[in-house]
Amino acid sequence: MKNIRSPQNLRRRVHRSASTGFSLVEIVVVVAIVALIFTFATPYTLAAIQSASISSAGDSLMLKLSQAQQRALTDNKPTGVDFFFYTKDGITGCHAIQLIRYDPATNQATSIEEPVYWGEGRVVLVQGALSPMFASNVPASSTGSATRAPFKDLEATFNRIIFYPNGSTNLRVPLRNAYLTLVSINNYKEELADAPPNYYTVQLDPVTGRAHSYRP
Amino acid sequence: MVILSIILLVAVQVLGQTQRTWKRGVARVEQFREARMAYESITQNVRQAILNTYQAYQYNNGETPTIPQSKTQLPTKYIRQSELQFVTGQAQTLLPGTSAAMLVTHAMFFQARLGLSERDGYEGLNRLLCGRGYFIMHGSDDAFRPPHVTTTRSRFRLWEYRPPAEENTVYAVKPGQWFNKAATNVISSGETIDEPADTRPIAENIVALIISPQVTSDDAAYKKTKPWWIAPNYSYDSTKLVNTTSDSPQGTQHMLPPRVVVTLVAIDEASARNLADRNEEAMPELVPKGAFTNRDDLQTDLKTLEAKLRSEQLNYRVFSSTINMRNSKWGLLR
Repeated sequence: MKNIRSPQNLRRRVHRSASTGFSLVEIVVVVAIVALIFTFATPYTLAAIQSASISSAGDSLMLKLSQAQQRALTDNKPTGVDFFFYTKDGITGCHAIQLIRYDPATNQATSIEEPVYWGEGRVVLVQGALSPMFASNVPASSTGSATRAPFKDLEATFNRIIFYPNGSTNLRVPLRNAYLTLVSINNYKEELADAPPNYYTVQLDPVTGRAHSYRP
Repeated sequence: MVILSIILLVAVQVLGQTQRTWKRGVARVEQFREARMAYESITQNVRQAILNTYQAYQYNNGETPTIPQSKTQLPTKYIRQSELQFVTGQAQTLLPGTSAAMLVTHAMFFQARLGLSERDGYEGLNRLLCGRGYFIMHGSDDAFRPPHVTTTRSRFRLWEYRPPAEENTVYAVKPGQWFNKAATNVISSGETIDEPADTRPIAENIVALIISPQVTSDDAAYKKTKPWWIAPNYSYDSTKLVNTTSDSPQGTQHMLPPRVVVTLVAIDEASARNLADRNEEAMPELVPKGAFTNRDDLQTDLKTLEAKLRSEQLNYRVFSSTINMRNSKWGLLR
């Protein structure tokens, strides 16, 4: 039987372990390659994450508008969506929406669902040129200071879209101005006039209540 | 180093492919959501179509048979009468004019208690009688696209003609004239709040709308014919004196069909974008000429259209259902 602990075998093992190690040059090359990959991949990854957040926020807005319209139709009662505007971490805009039931006789709104916040705070619905839907001809009953928690404590203001059972809305703007735009907070600027590279615009037909999305 | 480069290249390609597949999936879901909602809107509204038919004296055989031509004219018999209209047929025939070339497949117009008013505070009057219509027209979105969206989208769109109750001219004009401006009174860039356009887009990328008025299977069996005998070429006009027999001298005049089969063919946005890129602003010819003109050939025409869509590499979906017309009183014919 062969002796595995012979001096020749031990020498061979020591020699092999020395030869299978990494030299400094190899480590530097690997680190450089990994750094290169990160350098190239990071902007794309960040852009992909940003895009996913905007898409998610836009899709939830589309869903809520669609839900409000469907509920108005099936329950035969005006149903709406409240948009809450306030400043959070220095960013002013609409950060949350909430589905409501609207009573035209008393002008009272009752929330029928928990509020929805955009993209875990990474997305904001901007005001100004990119969202002219609430800029003009807003009925006094469809805007004002928030009266419900938690938006009252945040000193938020609200704008309201009401869907009526016949499919129409309370909006009084032409279709070409009936849109709102969501952007990433990284692209946020006060009075944002030009569309950033990534955005989610939702257009709502004031007459038919049909929502349509636009992406770059 | 070579192996690492190959692995990186493969990884990039796999990621790119995954991203494209994801985007295609999302586009399909979103697009068909819009088509589905428009389809539900059509079926829900057409179900409420109404003619308000009544029995009246017939004095003559002219255009206004229920109005005597002189003080001495005596009535001859009772006839079924209505001022309202339910009409389906080829869109280009129903809506002739400058826009006709951009219209494809069928159109449908009717009245229903849809409660649409242009006056503030009248939203609660949800039983007001209103006209309604549907058709497909190809065109760009320049008139209503938000200004920061720079790319023009030339697409097939499903349009809804929805004049408010205040514009219900059906009692003041000849049948067929109350909707003749439906294809021209579409949204323009000059639309104002006080005068919103009556015709509005409700879904994009709808390439075919097929409307087939029919009777029930029992009725068809009773008459020993096909359920679509009342509209063998898809054309049905409730004001026309057609389908008369000795038992039923008025035929289907002033009658709502008992059933309407509505079929919608939609493509997704990614497919529509590719199609628009290939055709620029010209209208692509997806529906073969002469298709959907004979009801007997519906299945063949649908298969031909689907083959065409597949050959153009377009993702599509067909929505179809039979709608029972709530206000149809078809038993009168028996």
